[in-house]
Amino acid sequence: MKRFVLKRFVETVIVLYLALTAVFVMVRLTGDPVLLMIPADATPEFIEQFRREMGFNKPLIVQYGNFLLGAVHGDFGKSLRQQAGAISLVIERIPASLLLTTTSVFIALIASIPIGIFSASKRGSLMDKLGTVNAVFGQSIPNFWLGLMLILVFSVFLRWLPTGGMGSWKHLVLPALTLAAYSVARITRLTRSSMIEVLQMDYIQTARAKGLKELKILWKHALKNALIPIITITGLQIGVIFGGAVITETIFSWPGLGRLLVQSIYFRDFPTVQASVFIIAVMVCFINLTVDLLYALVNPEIREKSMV
Amino acid sequence: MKKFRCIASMAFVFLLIGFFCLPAGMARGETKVIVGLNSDARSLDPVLVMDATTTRVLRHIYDALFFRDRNMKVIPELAESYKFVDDLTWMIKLKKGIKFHNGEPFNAESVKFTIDFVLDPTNKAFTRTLIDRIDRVEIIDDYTVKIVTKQAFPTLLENLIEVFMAPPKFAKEKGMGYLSDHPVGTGAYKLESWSKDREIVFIKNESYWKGVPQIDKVVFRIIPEVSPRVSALVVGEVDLIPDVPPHLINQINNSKVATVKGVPGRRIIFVGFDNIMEGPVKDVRVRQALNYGVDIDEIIRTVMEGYATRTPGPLTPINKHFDPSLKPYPYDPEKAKKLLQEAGYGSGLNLTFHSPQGRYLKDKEFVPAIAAQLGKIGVNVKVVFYEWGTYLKSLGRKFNDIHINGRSDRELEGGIMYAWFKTGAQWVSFSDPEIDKELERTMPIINPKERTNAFKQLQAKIQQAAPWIFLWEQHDLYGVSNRLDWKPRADEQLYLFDAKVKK
Repeated sequence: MKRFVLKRFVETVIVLYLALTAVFVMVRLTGDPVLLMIPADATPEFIEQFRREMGFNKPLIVQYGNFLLGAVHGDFGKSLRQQAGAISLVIERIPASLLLTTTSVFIALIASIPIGIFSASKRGSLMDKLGTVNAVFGQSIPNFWLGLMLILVFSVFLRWLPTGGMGSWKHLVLPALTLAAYSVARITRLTRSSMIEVLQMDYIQTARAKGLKELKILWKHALKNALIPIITITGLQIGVIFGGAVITETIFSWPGLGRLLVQSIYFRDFPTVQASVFIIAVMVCFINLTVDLLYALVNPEIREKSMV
Repeated sequence: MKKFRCIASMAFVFLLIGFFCLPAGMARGETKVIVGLNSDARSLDPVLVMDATTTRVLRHIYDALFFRDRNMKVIPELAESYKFVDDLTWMIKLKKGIKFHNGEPFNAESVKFTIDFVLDPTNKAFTRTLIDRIDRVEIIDDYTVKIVTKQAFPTLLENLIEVFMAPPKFAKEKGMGYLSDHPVGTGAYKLESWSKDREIVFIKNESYWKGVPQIDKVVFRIIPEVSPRVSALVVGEVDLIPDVPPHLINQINNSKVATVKGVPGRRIIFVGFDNIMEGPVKDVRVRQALNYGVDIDEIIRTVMEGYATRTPGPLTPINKHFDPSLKPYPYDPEKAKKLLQEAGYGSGLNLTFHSPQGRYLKDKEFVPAIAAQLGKIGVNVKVVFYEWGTYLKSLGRKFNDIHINGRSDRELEGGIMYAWFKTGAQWVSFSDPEIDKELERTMPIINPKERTNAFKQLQAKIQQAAPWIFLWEQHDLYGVSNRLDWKPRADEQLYLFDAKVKK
């Protein structure tokens, strides 16, 4: 087990290093932050001076070296957009992002598991078909469109919920629903297929033959085994949602990590973009690592296989 | 099943933590106006940064020595009067009895401290670009300062409009950087709270020297996407939003909650030529032909839906030295074709048209419209769109043929033409030795009458040299709640001090 943990840990470090390098290179391909910052009537001498002061005149390799050195110490430099350290701006946003992520995962789980189980037990029924249609929609509707439609219906026409921002539980409903849509669809489909597979197993047939109630068979005997892949997918899904709430957070003015990332990209705020990507990468790696370790803990087969 | 329960209970715990972190509601019975902005202020420091959004916010906390009235005329604000001593010296008298929010008096020391701070390159203040022609500030007495410039600086007063005054004692004690989050000015509002990228809450300054504002609280709420911003306005969540896109005007006007108000703004849009690189637009006849070949009035009427005002030459009516007698190029495709023929392009001409996308009002629509009209005079135009950051990298240096540009300068004086047409200036891809010479001659003229005359001649010369296809000044569109009595200004400032909430 120790070797397994060590191996996964080394892999995580490599992934983080690659993520850092990729973001360093990519942000520098997109434009010059100095030109976006200075007023239109600034003289070329003024611009050059600013470039020097910001350290953008140094060779790229020196900038890269400084960046990696800083990153190791958790120092990503000062934000170019706001007067604060990049990493502290990012850390400020984590609670809002976590709140949105956990709420939407929670919604996804309580909506998708019962629908999935029901669809599996009543295959071909109207409800099953509706569930399938719902899943197709959930996976194919772009979430910026869904978000705007939800605002139009629930905020503009019905006036039940606010259009955006963060303040009370009402502000959380629409962004969480928008973000959950994709996961609901995915987890529903997975629960359904996983349950169908389990329901065809011999021990379920035995349970039925013994005259156990269908409800008990579904919830107590079948679901337990069917849940294993669902937990894995949910774990991965948390990572996807956490890093992928960019559009939803922007539409609903939710002050999370995704929105910070978008704004920083528009502004070419290199330090904040790098710090945001790093933190998102750390979170995703951490969640994946936790899921893997938990899995290995409960299922020795996995840890043996992964060592081969 | 235990694992599922575990995940579910963890989610609950996160939810609870989140809700406890949420702020409490606001007190009732106060007049509050909420402004929906697309991005947050970058700092609340008076002089460090100066982008459009930050300045819109700062204007509520701080005052400057000079100010623009509704007609964009420069008038004294914290200054009482000014005297022009000689080409390099200005004497400025200050208003008495004005105090900063912390009780510190505003006086000559404040002016000297603020300007010295800005001029010191180690402080990296962006406002330095506005006043770097100042050599030094001398205190004559408590309420008089002498400003000495390195060279003639006719636009000094205008450039001081966005240099907001800082309290010297407070700034020295705490460090200027402290003002970033704890602003102290002489302005109409004081900071109550600032939740980054969410909202900034201002509360009125009860002892404001211009009088107590009618609106108790001004909240700047950050709503990055335009569609939700408009939704927030039509349901009454916010009272004022800038930059309304024309296709959402009807939604706002039909809401019965808010109305769109427009004003010709200071952003001018033009097609720039690159005559530095080799190419057909090096020939002035080709540039003039393209000016004759576009029916700009038609594009304004149809594509721009009337939300633009044509500019005959480089300046617009809001510029101080605008020449109202200058007539725009008429739409004359025959003359355009003739000029092209004279230039040797009678059988047709191929050009690349570079444009940013989503940067200027309706750019994605009007650029193809211009291209189509040029097609009618035998100019075959290939349009290439770019994302703004990428575009900016090449602007003024790497675009051959023709490109779209828009400028929104703080300076509204005729002298701004120097930054637009001087060979080698930032973003400028045009060079004409004649115009350079004329600019150099005109810029230092201080005598107002001579200056106006010189700029008049210069505008005519520039129009003839056709460095641009002169298009229009963009209208700034605001969505304004019907409960708010507020008029838009041409300088993009929101300035809610003189706004009122209808009872």
